[in-house]
Order: sequence, then C-alpha cells, then structure tokens
Amino acid sequence: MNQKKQNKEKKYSFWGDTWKRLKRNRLAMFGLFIIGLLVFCAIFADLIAPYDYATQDLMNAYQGPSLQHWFGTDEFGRDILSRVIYGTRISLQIGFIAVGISLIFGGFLGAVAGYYGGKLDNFIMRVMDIIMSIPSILLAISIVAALGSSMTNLMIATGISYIPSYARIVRASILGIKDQEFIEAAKAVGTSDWTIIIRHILPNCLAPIIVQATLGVAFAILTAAGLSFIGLGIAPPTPEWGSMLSTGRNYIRDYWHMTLFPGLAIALTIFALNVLGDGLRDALDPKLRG
Amino acid sequence: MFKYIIKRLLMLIPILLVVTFVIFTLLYITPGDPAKMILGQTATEEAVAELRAELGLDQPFLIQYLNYMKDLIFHFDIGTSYTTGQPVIDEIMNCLPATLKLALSSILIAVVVGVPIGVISAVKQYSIFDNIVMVLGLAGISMPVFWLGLLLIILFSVRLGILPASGYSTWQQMILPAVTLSAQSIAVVARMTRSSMLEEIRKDYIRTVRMKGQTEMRITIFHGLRNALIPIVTVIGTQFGSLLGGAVMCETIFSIPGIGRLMVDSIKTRNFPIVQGGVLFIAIGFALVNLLVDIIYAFLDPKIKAQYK
Amino acid sequence: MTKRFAALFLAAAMAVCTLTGCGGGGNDSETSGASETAAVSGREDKDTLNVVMASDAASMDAADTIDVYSQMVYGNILETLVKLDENGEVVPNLAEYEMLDDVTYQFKIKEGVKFHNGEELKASDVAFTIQRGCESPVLNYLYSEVDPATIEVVDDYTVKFSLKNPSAPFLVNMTCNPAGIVSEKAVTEAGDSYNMNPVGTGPYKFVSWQQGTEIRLEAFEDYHGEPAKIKNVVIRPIPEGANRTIELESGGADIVCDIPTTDISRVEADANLQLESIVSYATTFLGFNCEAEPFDDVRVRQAVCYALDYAGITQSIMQGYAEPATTPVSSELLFHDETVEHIPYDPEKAKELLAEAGYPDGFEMTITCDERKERNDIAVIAQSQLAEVGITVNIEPLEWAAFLDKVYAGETQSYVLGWSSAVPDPDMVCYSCFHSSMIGNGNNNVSRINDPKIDELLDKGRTSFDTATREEAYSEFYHYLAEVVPWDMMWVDSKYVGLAGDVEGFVMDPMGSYRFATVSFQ
Repeated sequence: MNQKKQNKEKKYSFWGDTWKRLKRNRLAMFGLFIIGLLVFCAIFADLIAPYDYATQDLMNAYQGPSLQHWFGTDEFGRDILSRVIYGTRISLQIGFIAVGISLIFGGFLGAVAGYYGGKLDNFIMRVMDIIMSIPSILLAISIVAALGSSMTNLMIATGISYIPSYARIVRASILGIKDQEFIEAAKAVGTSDWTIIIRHILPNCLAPIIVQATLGVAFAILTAAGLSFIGLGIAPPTPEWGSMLSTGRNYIRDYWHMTLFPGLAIALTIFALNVLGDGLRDALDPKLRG
Repeated sequence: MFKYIIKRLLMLIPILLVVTFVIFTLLYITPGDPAKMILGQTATEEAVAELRAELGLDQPFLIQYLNYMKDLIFHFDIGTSYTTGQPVIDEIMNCLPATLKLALSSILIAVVVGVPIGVISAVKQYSIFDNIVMVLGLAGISMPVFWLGLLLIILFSVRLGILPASGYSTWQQMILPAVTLSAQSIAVVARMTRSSMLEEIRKDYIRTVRMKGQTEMRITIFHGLRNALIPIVTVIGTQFGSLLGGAVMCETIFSIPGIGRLMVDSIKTRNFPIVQGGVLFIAIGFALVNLLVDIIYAFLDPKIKAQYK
Repeated sequence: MTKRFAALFLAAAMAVCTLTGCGGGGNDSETSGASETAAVSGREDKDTLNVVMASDAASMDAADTIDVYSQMVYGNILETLVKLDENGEVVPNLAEYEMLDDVTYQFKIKEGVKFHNGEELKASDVAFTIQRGCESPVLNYLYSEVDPATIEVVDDYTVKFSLKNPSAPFLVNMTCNPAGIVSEKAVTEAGDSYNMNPVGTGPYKFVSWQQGTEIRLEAFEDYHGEPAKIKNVVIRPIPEGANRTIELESGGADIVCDIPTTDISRVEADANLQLESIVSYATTFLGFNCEAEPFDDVRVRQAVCYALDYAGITQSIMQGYAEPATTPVSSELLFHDETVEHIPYDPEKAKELLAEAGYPDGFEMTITCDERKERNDIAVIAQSQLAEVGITVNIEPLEWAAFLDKVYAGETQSYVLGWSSAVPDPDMVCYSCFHSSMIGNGNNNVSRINDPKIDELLDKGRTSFDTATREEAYSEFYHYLAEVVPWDMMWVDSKYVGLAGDVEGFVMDPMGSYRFATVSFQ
C-alpha cells in the first residue's frame, strides 16, 4: 500500500507540482492569461490591429472612442487601439531583452562571485553596490542621454540597473549549496567548475530567478515608459505606450482618452506580471509545500 | 555599534569615488555642448568657444576629472552651475526641501494607510476585505506614477476643481502629488505588513498569549505588529529608494522644483556640475537611509544588534 | 516597550518635519489665500500681481544669460539707453544719442535717474556696462562690433565709443533687454553674487528669488518716469502647460505666459479671462543641408517644398494659432515684405522636379528632429506627405543637446528647427544663418548654403545706413530665398498670454519678455 502511494507521489516532478499549485491560484492564472493575450497581440499585431499604427488621417484627429475607432484617434488621426496593440510588441521586447541582459550578466557575475568567493567575490559585490547606489532612474537617464534614445539603448539602460539583483540571487543560491556533499563529490570526480555551476547550481536558483524575472520585465516596461514620458525614450511615431502617454499629457483636458488607454495597457501588463510573479513565488515556496 | 556605524561610513568613500568617476565619464561621452546650451542657438561660435574655455570644457578628460576631484576632496567644492553660476551645493539645497517634503509625506501616507490595511487583511485573511485589498494593492503597484498623477489631475483639478495641480507650499497643493507618489508604497507596505503579520500570528507564542486570555485586538496590535515591524521598516527603507524615480515623475507633472526635476533638467541642458553633484548627493543620501534603517533594526531587535560588529 | 516607542517617535518626528516644511519650501499661505478669492469679482489684494511663466529664470544678470525667462524678470529691473517706439524707430530712453561719424556714438544721459540702491546713474555706469558687455561671451551678439578701447567717459553724463565697422543694426540692438544699464557700484560690490541681487534703474526693483518657486519684485518709488501701478509682482515658474492654464482659471495667477496651443480656445471662450496674442520673432521650418546629396541640388529642395503642404501642416499642428511663414524670419521684424510667396503645395510638380533632378523613383532621406512635440509632428506629417511623391523618410528624433550637435556638425540631411530673433532687426538672424562666412565651426549657417548673391544682399543690408536701401536689399533677399529654399518655412510662432478678467494695461511683446509697470487692476 505504502509503496504504491510513494510511487504515485514520485510522479509529480518539481515543475509539475509547481504548475499544479499555480493553477489553483486564480489570480495568477488570470495574470498568465493576460500575458498570453499580450504576447499574442505582439506576434499577430499585423493581423488583429484594425489599422496601421502610422496611418494618419488628419481630418479625423482627436476623435473619442467610437465604433470605427474603439479607443479613439490621436492628434494625427491615428487609431489608438492599433497603436496600443503594436505597442505590446515594443514593450514586451524591451521587457524581455532588458531582463535577458540583466539575467545573463548578473547571473554570470553572481555565479562567479558565489562560487569562487574570496577577493573576487568581494570585488564583484562592491561593484554591484556601486551600481545600486546610483538610482536606477538617473542611471537610465544618463545612459540614454549619452548613447542616444533608441530602443536598443533603452533596453541596455534598464538592463544595467537590474544586474545587481540577479547577481545577488544567484550568489545567494550558490552560497547555499556550495558546500554540500554532492558538489564535493562532483569536484572529486574532476567535473570542471563550469559544468558544476551550470548543471548543478543554476537549476537550484531558477525558482527565485524566475520570480525576479517576471517582476523585472514589469520594471523594465515601466522604466522605459517613464523615460519616454520625460522625453528621453523612444519618440513618436513608434507606438511605445509611455511616449503615447507623454503626448497625451498635452491634451488631458479635452481628449483624455489619449491618456487613458495607453495607461491602462501599461497598468494591466504590470498587474498581470506582478500577479503572475507572486503566484510563482507562492507556488515555488518550499515552506508552503505540504 | 558605534564602530559598525563608522565602518559603514568609511566604506562609503571608495563607492563614492567610483560613482563620481562613472558619472563623469558618462557625461563626458555624452554628445551635446554645454556652452552652446547656455548661450543658445543664436550665439556665434567665437562666443561659444570662449565660454567653453572659461568653463574648462576644452581640456582633456583626465585633467577635467582631476580638477573636479581636487576641488571636491580638498575644498568640498562641487563646482558651480553652468546656467546660473550659483554653487551647486546651493542649488541642490534649494531643491532638497521640496523633494523631502514630497517623499516624507508620501511615506507617511503609505505607513498610515498601508499598515492598518495590512493588519486588518492579515487578521481577516481570505475575507472579502482581504481579497479586495490584495487586488487593489496589486493595482497600486502596477499603476505607473505618471499615469496616476495625470488621472488625479484630470479628476480633482480639471473636472471637480477642488485641488490645485501645481506647487508645493500649501498642504492642499501637496495632496495630489503625495497621494500619487504613495500609491505604490501603500501597496507594498500593506502587503508586507500582511505577510509578516500572517507569519507572526502563526507562531507558537501567539497561541500561548491567546490561551492566556488576551483579547484579539491586543494580541494583534501589541504582539503581532510589534514583531512584524522589522520587515515593515525594511520595506520603508527600500521604498525610499524607489521613491526617487517616482519623485522625478511627480515633480515633472506637478511642477514641484525638487531634486528629481533638477537632475533631469540638468542632464538635458548638460549642466554637468549639477548632475555630478546631484548624483553624489543622492548616492550619499541612499547610503545614509540604508544605514538609518539598519540602526532602527538594531533598536528593534537585539539579536540583530549583536550581529553588528 | 522601548522598541515601539522608538519606532513611534521616529514616525512622529517625520510627521512633524513634513508638516512644518523642513525649512524652506515657502510659507505662502498669503498667495494661496489670494488665489481662492481672486477668481470671484472683487479682488482682495490689488497690490500684488501674480505672474506665471513656463520656466524659472536662470540668472538676474544679462551677462550670464539671455534666455527669455530671465529677460522677463531683469527686463523690468533694468533699462536700456534707447528704446523702440510704436513705429519701430529708435528713440531715447535713458539717454539721447548722436552719431559723430559712421562708427562713433555719443550718448547724453538723462540727469537725476536713480538706481535701486539710491545711487545716481552716471556715464561711468554706462561705460562700465558696455565694457562688461564686450567681455561677456553671452552678450557678444550685441556688443561684438564695439571697440572697447574707444569707450570714453566724456563727462558725468556723457559717454562715447566707436565700433570696429559701421553697423546699421547696432542701435536697434541696444534697445534689447540684455543691453540694460547696470550699476557699477552694485556689480563690483556684489561680485559673484550679483546675479542673485540685480540693481537697475527700472520701474521695479528686485526683492527676492526663491529658485524654482518664485521671484518677487517691488515698485521702485524713486523711478524717474511714470511709476509702476501695482506695488508687488510675484513671478512663478510652472513648466507643465496644462497646469499653467489651470492656475489661470482657478485665479491663482493674473497673467500666464505661454498658454499651450491646446488651451488657447478655452481661455478665449472663458468670459472671466482675457487672451492676448502677438506674432513673435520666431519661425519654425524644415531645413536642408545644402552641402550634401541630395539637397545640394536646388531642384530637390524645391521638390520637397512642393510636396509639403506647409499651410496645411501649420493648420494641423498649430490649430490656427500660428501664421504660415513665407520669409525665413518673422513677419514682425523690420523690413518685412508681404509680397514674398512660399512655394505652393503641388505634388505633381514635385514629382516632375524630382524626375528632372535624376530621382524619378524618389529616394530615401532622414529628417532629424528634437523631442519637442511640435517639431516631431512636422517630421511625422512630412513623412506621410513625402511618401506620396515617392520619398521615403526616416525620422531621427534626438535629444535637444545631441540634436544641436549633429545639426551644427553638418551631419544631418534635413532637420526641423526654429529660429528666434533676439532683436527686431533682421540682420542678426539672416546674416548668421545664410552668409557663407558662417558655415561650419559651430557657426549658425546650418543649411550650409553658399551663394554669392545671398552674401551680397546681406552685406548690403548690414552696412547701408539708408533705410530704403536696406529695405530693398532684404526684400530682394527674401524673394531669392523663396526660390533657393535652404529652409522650407512652416510657420511664424505667436505668443499667447492669458490674463485675469480685471487686468488692464498689459502690453504684449514679440519676444515674450513682458513689462509690468503699465499693468493695473480695474
């Protein structure tokens, strides 16, 4: 009897178990659904957007929401719904690539620091401290001002400020298991340091990294929007949500639909990412597992 | 304890040195000519060249950097603003009160609103209140500061006309900016309070106290909250940091002449001394706030105090 | 127990700190009190004029800056030797003038004029001001022709000096705010802090400046002319356009400069407010780089002009609140010619010209612009209209400082730019923007046009003292420019100021630096 039960329990792998627990969290699933929807919009923007995002129609500028233009039109008569849809492409790209940058560099640095310890560790963590003491918004602004405002630079700027977080996570995970026996064993057998790090250590930090990454995408999108808002991000006609908000700002009194919809898009995306991140955190949390 | 504080302060120095170097380099490679920005488009090239020489901008990078560090270290002089000719320190000091006012009032709102909400949520876990609060909390974190600010202006200044949209002198003027900035912090504080309270409530000693016959209210507030304070204080400390980003937005939207706006404007006009001085200032501020938070920890928990060597 | 108290104490301390304002921040409950009632009829405080502008002044010293906001403040504090009357003629202000020869000027100063510090205005102050102007790179554009070695104090009230070359525009330049006369004593005594404590002879004297928050001026009792009508002036910066309008509507401000385009109709329609406007000295345009392909060919430039509907673009972006421009400088400057015509909107003709120039299938180009909305908008609409004639446009938005760098280095193909004249005389802008000697090295001929006919006309305009000759020269110049189009003109900017219902006597100024001495409440 007990054998059977044990076998049944073994069937649930770590990830399967996590997924099962995530599914129970309705809010998190809602978030996942929204993200899925956004990714869908980003990929199939050409098919679902009713208009092209750059087509001007000066005669019909400043229209409020209507049947032809669900979200209304902007100052050039461009359809806001289409611009919001195309905007998902831009925002998601920025989010993922920025996080990718922080993850790769941060993860690498954290791994090296944690694994090798000693002076290297100290040095790397001090550098991380320095990056963290420059407020991320200022760092982002300075980088964009120095390199020019383009999508690539925006991604670099937001990516750099988040490197220390990933470094810390990876380093902490490594420190946690570095001294365990199976690592010693692997070393004894002669496995190279790199293989050890990649095969054994990294999988263990995946959990917190995933949570951090989800929130990181949110942060990157928000920062990019913020930079565009103050005029240092991607400027029109690219339909980036933040710059749409920035231009809409001039018209808040008469045409506030221009501010409402891009803002909603940002808020919804961030909300979904946060909720998903929280759900993942709960699902992955060992303390809450039976 | 004292030694620990001194050690922390000393560690600041190498960090600040590197920070100044990084910012200096970034500004140096940034395209754009401060002299031209000051004189304006219409100025003649000889005038621009003259001004550039006057400001020392035509010298090689290292010389400029060394001159700056020399003034900083030996005379505590962080230079004068390119546009106004006023000492950078004065300009920063002028802007500091506005930002501090904004930051402190929003933290105050965050704590005053967030903590009780978190406590109630924790006590009435899974109730409707809890669920609504959780969702609103998440919404709060998700709203971009600049969007929320604009929406509030539309609602309260434009449509209803009951609150002013700019300025920071009177408390009415501070309401919208402070609320906008606090939205995110309220959410974070409430959630943090909720989760640490939940942890505390589950602990054994609470059971003991309850069996002893204490009222729920007393248990919650006196015992639960007290021990949950530490993570709450952490969060407040870290919020201070992210506040700066939000402050930049708020100051822009609500026309508050604070440090955030000063920095953004100075970067745009290539007013290098202010940018450098400002970043230095802010980095020091951050470090001090972190130190303060750690000291408060020590106050709140003797175990932690023992760790500070 | 102690832990809780510590935490509570800290919280309370923070609260107290916040509510008492942590030092500074202004305790202007007075101003806000006035703001609540001012909107209603029956103004309580008739002694204070609340002015709002778009940005804070940078300095109170003309030698530091000539930006329009600083000028607005020090323009009320200082006075110039001469001024312009309604016909645009130079007339005496603080002094009478005489030309001893075509490069020498002699000024006889009015006697009994007092500075705000009580001292009397003497020739030595004028000499000092001019000397200072010669040494300042910022004021170079006004004083570059003056030979400092010739500045001479003839007697207590007479000063004379000579220019290096004859300059017809010189006297007009001397009517500008930055040429205001300063007190030698005040400047030398204050040293570095002078720019926070200006002293002049104007109808208002400087009281205080809380940077970023407000500037206070007070009427000068010993003013030599008609005293200011309102005793106190408070000037505040509010960068957000919509907020400025809200301030006007709520009664928080009596005069609001730079009403954003989107709010103009609202202010106009409001019965409690007044709207004043004036055509300014600034123009906005799409400029070309005439040194590089394909815009080195005048036919290509003309083709683009034919392809763009400049009047339609102006209407669309400025909603009727700016006039389409035909000349490179504002129609408000001296010697404007109404007969100049802008290349009309004719896409067919554009395609013809392109084919003629060797681009039958169009080509690809880049428009560089800065982050300002209106400039951006021009690029965006241009992109769409040029596509109709086969020209593909890439828009390159840059941050302002980086943008200027690139344009001045000649690295752009075309750019959206504006130019404002700091003086009513067209020479300053025209010469520096179109004369071939002004190409490169950071000089202002950013279109890099090199045309001997242009040079000749501009030289003539600069050196002839006869008004009729100058008028003719500039007229010919404008007509010629409309053919060779180094700039595709878009519009002439206008300035819009919102006033509270009971404000009277406000005089508009094309440069946007307004004077308050004549303003009063009904």
